[in-house]
Amino acid sequence: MNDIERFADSSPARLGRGKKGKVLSDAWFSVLLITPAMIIIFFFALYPLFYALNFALRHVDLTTAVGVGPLVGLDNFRFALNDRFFWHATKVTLIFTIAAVSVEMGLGIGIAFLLYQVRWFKGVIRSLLLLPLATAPAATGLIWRHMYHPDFGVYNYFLSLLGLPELNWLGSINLALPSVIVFDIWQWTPFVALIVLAGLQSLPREPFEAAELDGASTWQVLRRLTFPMLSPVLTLVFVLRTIDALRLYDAVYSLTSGGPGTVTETLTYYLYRIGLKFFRMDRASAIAFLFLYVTIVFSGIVLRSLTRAQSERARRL
Amino acid sequence: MERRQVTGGDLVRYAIIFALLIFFLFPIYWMIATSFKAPGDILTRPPRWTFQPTLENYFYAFEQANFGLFIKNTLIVAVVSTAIVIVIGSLAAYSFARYDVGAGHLMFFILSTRMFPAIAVVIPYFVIFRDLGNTVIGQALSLGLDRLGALVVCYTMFNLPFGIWLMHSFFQDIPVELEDSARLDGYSRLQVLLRVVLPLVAPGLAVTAIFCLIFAWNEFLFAFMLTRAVARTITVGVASFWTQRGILWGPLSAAATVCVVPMLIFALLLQRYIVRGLTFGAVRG
Amino acid sequence: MSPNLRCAWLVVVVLLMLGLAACAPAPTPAAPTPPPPPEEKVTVNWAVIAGFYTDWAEEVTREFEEETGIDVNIVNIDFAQLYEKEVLEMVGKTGAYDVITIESGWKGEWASAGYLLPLDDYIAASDPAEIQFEDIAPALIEIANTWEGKVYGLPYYTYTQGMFYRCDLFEDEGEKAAFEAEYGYPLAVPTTWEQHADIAEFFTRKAGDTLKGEVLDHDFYGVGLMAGRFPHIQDEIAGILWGWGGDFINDDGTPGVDDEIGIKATKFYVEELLPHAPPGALTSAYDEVVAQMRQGLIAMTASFYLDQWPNIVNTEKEIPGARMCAAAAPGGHGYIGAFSLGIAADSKHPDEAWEFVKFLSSPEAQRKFALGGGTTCRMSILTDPEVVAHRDVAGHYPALAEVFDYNKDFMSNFFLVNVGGKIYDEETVWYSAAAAGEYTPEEAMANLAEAIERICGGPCKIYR
Repeated sequence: MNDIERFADSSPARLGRGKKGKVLSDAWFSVLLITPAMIIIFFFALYPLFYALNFALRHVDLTTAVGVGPLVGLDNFRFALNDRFFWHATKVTLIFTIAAVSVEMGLGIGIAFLLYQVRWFKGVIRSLLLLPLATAPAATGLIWRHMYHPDFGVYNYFLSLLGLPELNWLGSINLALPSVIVFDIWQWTPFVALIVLAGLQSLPREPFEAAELDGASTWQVLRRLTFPMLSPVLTLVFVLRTIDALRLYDAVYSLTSGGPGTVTETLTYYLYRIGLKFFRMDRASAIAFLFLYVTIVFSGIVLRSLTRAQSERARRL
Repeated sequence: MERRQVTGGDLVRYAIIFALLIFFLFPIYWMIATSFKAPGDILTRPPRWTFQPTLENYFYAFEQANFGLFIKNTLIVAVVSTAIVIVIGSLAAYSFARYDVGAGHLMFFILSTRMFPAIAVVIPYFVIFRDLGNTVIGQALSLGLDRLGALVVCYTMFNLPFGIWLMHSFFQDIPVELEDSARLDGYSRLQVLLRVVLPLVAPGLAVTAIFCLIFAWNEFLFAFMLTRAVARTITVGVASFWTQRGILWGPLSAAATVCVVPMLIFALLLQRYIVRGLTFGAVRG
Repeated sequence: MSPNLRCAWLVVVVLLMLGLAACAPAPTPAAPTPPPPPEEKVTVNWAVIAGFYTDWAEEVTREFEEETGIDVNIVNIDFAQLYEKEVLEMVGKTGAYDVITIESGWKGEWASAGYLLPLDDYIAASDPAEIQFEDIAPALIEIANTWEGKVYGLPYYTYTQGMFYRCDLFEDEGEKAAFEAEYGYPLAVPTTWEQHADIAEFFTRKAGDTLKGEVLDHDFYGVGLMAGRFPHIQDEIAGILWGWGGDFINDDGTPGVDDEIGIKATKFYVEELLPHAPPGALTSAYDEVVAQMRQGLIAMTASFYLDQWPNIVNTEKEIPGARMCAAAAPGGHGYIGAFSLGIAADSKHPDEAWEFVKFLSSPEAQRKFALGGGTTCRMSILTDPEVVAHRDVAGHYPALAEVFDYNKDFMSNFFLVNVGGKIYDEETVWYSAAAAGEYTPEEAMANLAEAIERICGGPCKIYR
């Protein structure tokens, strides 16, 4: 028996409850709490997943007479791994994710620290920062397309005012992906900043006061205290942002439609074409599972230390 | 990090913040400005900064494109799904934080359901809701294609993992001693959760709710594939301004501007909680 | 974690798993269609391209509702996603849309997959005067409406291409003299693509140069192109490719895009036309080209949708002295086709849907459509002097009639395969890749050929 149960057994509440004196154990109580969420997840997340798995193992060509065809084993996975456009899309997705998420994390943390130290207009600034986030990428992507336009766009107008050469933001094969990344940074940096700020504000004061008494330098405080204590929040934001950046779709759709050529064709956009233009759900599902596998492995590694620490914390209680 | 007197540092900080705000807000300004432009003022070279403002685009969006309905639909779907996520998710998050059900594995599993690309499950969802829509239960719960219930389910699905993880991190900051003493005072476990823990964690729930609302508000793919006309949401409505006559920039900007307003109101309403909030961790010491 | 705890949640998990196994995925469960509830008034759902002459459609639809007592529900969908939305509903056999909007390239695929009802019996049972099938432009019938001898749709709108140009520039004496001095032949509407490229080069000017004797305060370009990754770049190239006797797919079903002519056409587009287009070309769809014209940035288009006339003619209001003209594209070819209305095979109200299809494509409705800015497929209206007199909406009709006449025996294998929609999507990707320089024209065409073969599973089957 661990501490929880010992505590639970001896608690006066336990003794006083229930007409028949029969009370749920802590274990059942905790399971009861997660049951509604688990039912929803099991039915509406796992059922479609099994559905997709079924597709991935069959020959499925929905717009032809084949329909949902016979089982073909791992053929679809083999197809995906041999498909060089799949690898191209993977590369684009990785470049996008690494660039966007690292800038968003860096800039977001910077903004969070800035706001933390600011004294006036904090609430106003925070609300204003929420604005890019509050716009649908399907809509603001189009607005940005307008702003990026080489002939009529406002960004090129600024460049021309400064006497700089005008750029073909979304049309040049070298600039298109960075332009999409800038859009993502615009939209998601505030998300990082606001959550990190929330984390900063919830840090306990005492260790910092003690450090100051010891005459620790700002750098030492940051390295020894602030970042270690913030690390759960940072890890969480990092993982959430990475998962969503890997799945980027709306922004690509409205900004570039994957173009020019295939320069900004991310994995999910490629998937979209295979699944909903060609209706080859077998191949689309297989790619989706490869994608899921890689994402799980990645986030598993990143989150392992976090979940372990959390588990230990809970166990200590 | 205590507060200091007004210094040069403050000025530098505000200067940087000002520059950042320009970067983050200029596109919003541009969107709002475009929404008041007549068609001839939009695609011009150089861009027009001064123009005769017109409300034409707003009339178009609401009268021709039926945006009132789309906003109503989106509000219902976003609010209901967020409410479900907060209620169900907070129970689960508390259970994970306090009792460590599944030792982290279960939580990781929940997060992993957010990792599957939406496109690969759109067709399964389509089939599920097509068939559910023909059953009595489905009709009672509005779970068919082109029904709001279907979108509520989808948005609950993709916000639940996010919500549980975020709320979990807030629950963890509640000192367990507080709960123990409440138990000793004769509260039941449920009472502890409802009367002691939830009020303390309310700011965290508010933050989670804002993000869930925003995500649901902005979702496009499911809304596009699972609705037709009756349950259409704003993002799909906005996309329908991408027309055969070209992109209707004016109405599109007008619609996008209107869409931001409810989110801004939510943010301002919940602002109170966020400002006050997230400092309870201090007692943890 | 205590054994007790672990045990508890394991039990829950196992139970849920069992529940799940009970409802394991069955391959495409057929939708149990409940009997349609008894209703007095039938509603017909029409899936239509968003913003597509909505005013006209609504007016005509109201008229139809009053006349027949059948309600029509217009479902607007943006064109870029119309294909997958319609297919998804038809694959799912939901019967959500009764009246389907069909692009010519999609017709074969949907007809052969059994998504569409053949209309022959309906046509046979109707009064020929109401339909006047023979009035539909002969060039369109096979391309847009029939598949393996059966009719699957009636056209209500054509985007068939020609070209637009600033006739005030082409007729300016100074420009004419300068052109002839430089190229050795008189400046006129180009009849070959080589001439078109010459003219594009000729009119491309820098800020500070003169145009029509006036000093330009901005750069000016010879040609506006839709070279972005939108389903238009292949239509532009189709004009060149077909004009030179090539095709996307050869008669034996192999891809034609990487043949000698296929590569030559792509190279020509990328190397001879694109350098004379505004930088915006690489992200442009047709509406940007219209905007470029109206802002006075370009002198002409390449193969371009003639139905844009009512928009592009506004250049005359915005640029002093400008005059717009329409003509057949060099070589007389250009992408050709129409949006047709068909009836979904799983429609619950096919008879009412037919009434609506018939009504929309009827000569009377089409006449109203034409006067409202639509581009009709009916020859009697295209050549009606009364309609053509309305230059603001019908100034392109003579050019269109000329294109139809020239193409009356034309057929591309692209319209004879049953995977047109998918090939069309790949064409967008690879032509755009060639235009942007991500791949050389040769590489891009090799990739496109590979993609076409992949879609067809070898040589494509040509349905004749």
